[in-house]
Amino acid sequence: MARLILKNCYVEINSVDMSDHCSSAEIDVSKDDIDITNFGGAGREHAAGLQDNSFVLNLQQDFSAAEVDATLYPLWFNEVEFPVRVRPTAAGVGTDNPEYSGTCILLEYKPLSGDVGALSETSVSFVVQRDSFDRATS
Amino acid sequence: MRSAPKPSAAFNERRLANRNNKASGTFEVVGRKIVMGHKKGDRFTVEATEGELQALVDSGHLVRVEPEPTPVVVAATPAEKKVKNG
Repeated sequence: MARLILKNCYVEINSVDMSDHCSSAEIDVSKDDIDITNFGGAGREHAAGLQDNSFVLNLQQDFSAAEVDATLYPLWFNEVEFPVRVRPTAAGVGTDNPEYSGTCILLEYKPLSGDVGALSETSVSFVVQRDSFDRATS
Repeated sequence: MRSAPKPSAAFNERRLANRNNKASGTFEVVGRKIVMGHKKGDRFTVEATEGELQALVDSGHLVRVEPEPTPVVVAATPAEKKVKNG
């Protein structure tokens, strides 16, 4: 299997292709660590609890119509649940290009953040709701 | 600079209550970005939650395209026909 240099990740937020304004993508999957240690041994025992997954995307801010801010602000303001999809490349979904998706909610959003002379970027965490997280290969 | 008129509290409450209901409609892509695989100028029919669709409209990606109204043909009553024919 070839190593992957990230060049053209596919990022979709609420069904809108935002790949051309996204500079980094991170898919965080985790499960609560439940301690089920008992008197039966000399070490701790762990069990997987509830999933707590999220997508963390770094977006280059754009205040034009139908761009980054116009897309994200209504999602935060209207408290909407919406789909987020991320693939390693823009090619179709496949075993070597899995699509991670989930129904998300936007709880925090920084429309403006940056230093003088720097590119205006915003790092956004999309929290996956319930059990909607999925990894599709076809 | 003028900002958009604020919706009433009642309207906002109704909108938030309905945001996860399924809705469908015909939309046209008016923004530069690809939406649901459709590019600017494409028209398509889609089913999603009201919240998702409203956010896409609010953000300027889509506009709702009302279906062409069907012309209603009303038949003339016998009395009207008589008047017409003399």
